[in-house]
Amino acid sequence: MMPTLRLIPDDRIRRVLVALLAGALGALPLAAEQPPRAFQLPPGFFEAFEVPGQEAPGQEGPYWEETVNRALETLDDPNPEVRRAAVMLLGKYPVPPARAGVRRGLHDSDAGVRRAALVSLFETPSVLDGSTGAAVLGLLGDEDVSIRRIASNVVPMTLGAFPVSMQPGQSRLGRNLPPDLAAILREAFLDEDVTVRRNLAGHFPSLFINLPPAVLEKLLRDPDNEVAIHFLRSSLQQIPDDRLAGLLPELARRSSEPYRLELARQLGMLPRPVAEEALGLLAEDEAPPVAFAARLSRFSLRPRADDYRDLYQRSQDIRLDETTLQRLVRASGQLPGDDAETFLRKWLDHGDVAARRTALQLYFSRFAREGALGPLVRAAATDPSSQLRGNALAYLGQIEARLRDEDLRALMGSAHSESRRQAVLWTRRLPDDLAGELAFDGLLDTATEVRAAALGEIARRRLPDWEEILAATLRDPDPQLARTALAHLGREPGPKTEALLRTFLDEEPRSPLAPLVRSLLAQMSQI
Amino acid sequence: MTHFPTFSAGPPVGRLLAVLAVFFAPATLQAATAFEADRVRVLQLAPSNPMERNFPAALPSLLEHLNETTTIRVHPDPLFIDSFADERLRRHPLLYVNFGDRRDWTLSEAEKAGLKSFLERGGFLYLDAGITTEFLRDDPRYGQSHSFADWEIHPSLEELFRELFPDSAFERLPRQHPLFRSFHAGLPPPDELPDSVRDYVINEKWPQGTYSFLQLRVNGRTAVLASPIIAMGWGRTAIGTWANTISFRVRESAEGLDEQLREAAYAGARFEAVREDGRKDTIFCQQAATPSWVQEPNGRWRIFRYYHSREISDYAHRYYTQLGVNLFVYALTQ
Repeated sequence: MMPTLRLIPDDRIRRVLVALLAGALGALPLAAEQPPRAFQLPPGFFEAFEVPGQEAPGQEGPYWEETVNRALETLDDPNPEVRRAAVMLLGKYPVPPARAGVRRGLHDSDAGVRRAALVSLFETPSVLDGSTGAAVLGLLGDEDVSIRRIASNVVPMTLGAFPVSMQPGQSRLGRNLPPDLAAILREAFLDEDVTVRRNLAGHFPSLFINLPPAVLEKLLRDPDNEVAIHFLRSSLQQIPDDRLAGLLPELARRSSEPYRLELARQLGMLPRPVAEEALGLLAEDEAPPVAFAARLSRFSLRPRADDYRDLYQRSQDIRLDETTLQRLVRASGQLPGDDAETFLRKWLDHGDVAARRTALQLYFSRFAREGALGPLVRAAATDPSSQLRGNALAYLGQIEARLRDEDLRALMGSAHSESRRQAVLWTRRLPDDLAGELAFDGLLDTATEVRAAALGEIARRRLPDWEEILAATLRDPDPQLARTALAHLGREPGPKTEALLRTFLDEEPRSPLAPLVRSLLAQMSQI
Repeated sequence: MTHFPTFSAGPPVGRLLAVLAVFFAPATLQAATAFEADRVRVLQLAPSNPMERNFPAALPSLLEHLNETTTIRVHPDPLFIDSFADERLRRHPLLYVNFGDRRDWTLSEAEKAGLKSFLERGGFLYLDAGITTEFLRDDPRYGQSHSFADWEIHPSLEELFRELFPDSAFERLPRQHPLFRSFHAGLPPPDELPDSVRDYVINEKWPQGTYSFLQLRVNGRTAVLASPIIAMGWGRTAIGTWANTISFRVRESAEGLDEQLREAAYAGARFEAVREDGRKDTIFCQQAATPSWVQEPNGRWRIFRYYHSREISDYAHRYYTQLGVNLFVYALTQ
């Protein structure tokens, strides 16, 4: 039995070492616990750092060498189960000899070994070299369907070695693939197994593979809805108008509601007459969500206030999914000024927080400079989401100069202390009489932070009786507030302040603040 | 297509929902339409921006699925609350929390009081990802993408609930617990799964459609349930496809592999994971948050294999959705 090699019992040591080395090499960010990347420890790395317990005595070579070599020796075993065990173990070692062993397994005569090798190859996400990528693509034609399924799922990672460029006669970028591999890939899109087709359909936009229009039409009609929907998203624009004119009425009658819904959405991004005709059909669809999406797409292509009014009315009677609701709210931004404002105000009252947030953003971007601030103020004061109230306050902060005293009064009436506090802070732009009124209101608040802000404003402006107010607050049962008052008094030394503090000490010698007051008085006497 | 709701299990749902309705006066915050008014509203804790929560499509998709497949009627949109001090905890009986949606589990006194009161008054809290095994705790993202079976509550939750309910502790939910049969029983048909993973899934990964859950009982009933993340398997897109991709971690063996694993060198972490029966697996890693192989309590060594394919992902979604349905049906009918 060979001696066991167990490495680095203390993980912290290992992490620090790997992080330091990775940082030094620029191979990894300094956080060593990032999700896995294609990173190989350089040979001899562990020998370079003498970590206690790292290696068994007398061992040489990298830590993985013995394990990997032993597994490689069994790759030629006549028993496929033994070969399968070898490729499974080799898959755990992202080092060249192990990777080479796994690659060999891709060509094994036994399907179980090929499948194990394929799974092992992608345990560590990495971009494959051209020959390995070609070997994996070749498995798209494997007789074993489970292998084709796995291979079709990893196709994007096999194509890194084949560059993308503008192809002759094409208007889109395309992948430079050898003809035999391109043919295997094209055929795989029409595989008899639906999982293979689904995998490839999902990856299609990122593959830069140009499929002939006839194949695309076939895939748009694929009996599996998921496959067909993927191609609606990625390929509708590539079908020429004359073909589309015949195809769209057929697609609009497909029995699947999700398919028709997606078609209605996609047509809204196709500014062509043929799309508008199809949207006319879908607008009368028996399924309300489809009809609604078609009308919304029609509005996106030709925005008219009457149509939006109709959409808004209809939206009150059905539950819209999150995507459609967001589209509808955003679409109100396509309306001219008054109409947009009307509808955005309505959306700011909607029950869905995401809809309100989008409406708030749109309202601010459209009306912050010259529109009414009422909706923003109301959101800041009353919205049930603290996050959204925070957003509204941040927006108002950007246009603080536009805030009027009635806006601040509205904020002072909020049930939420952060809004009331902000209102007190924003009184700094107001004349003393108005600011004083709001600050004194703030002083009667129930929330410490609002009262503290009010005290600050009263002290800063030296409003009537400010020193007496601060001195009285020294007796407040809220210690934070009492300290705040003392801090303000300390910034304004003078005979009156001193007298008030001495009175406080005489009357409240056991107050928790008394030591601080004494200290403050001592400082004042030295000035 | 019209759905004809059925309810295969026997609990008197209507009566129990009526009881809940008495304790929790149904009140929606905004603009309740007739469509919404008579439905149970599920709360979701989203302490920061609700739009940045993990798996945003998950809970609405599951609630919609509940409406389509059971006679329970829930509002399909969760009602977001910022904190456990939110007043709405007094009006709605179900609270969903993804442990990873909240960074700091130090609760204010108001939050502690709100949560304690919610649970004592009959509220039900589900803590998704509340079980996050040791090797997944280094980074909050790990606990959202790995559902490693373990039976230990996250230490920060243990501390919190020990303070709230010193006389109760999290305990393992047994495999025969009615939750696992509250609506669906057993696993979804595994026919589509590849041969290489099917047996493992049926016999070991999710035996009889069960899962690792911990419960905390308050006033004699299950008030809190925690599990490794399952919301990753609920979300659907607007067109009905699954919102995420899920891979399987499968334990495999092959001839001679046991011996090779005993000798194999590793460069990552080694840690222990608690099994349902309290015994421990020793896990060996080559990369962060990715177990490579395991020494099991019976002395057997097996290798972890990671299968990524559509039919596997679809199956996992079906299972997690089924589990989610069972969970909510149980919460509303226990």
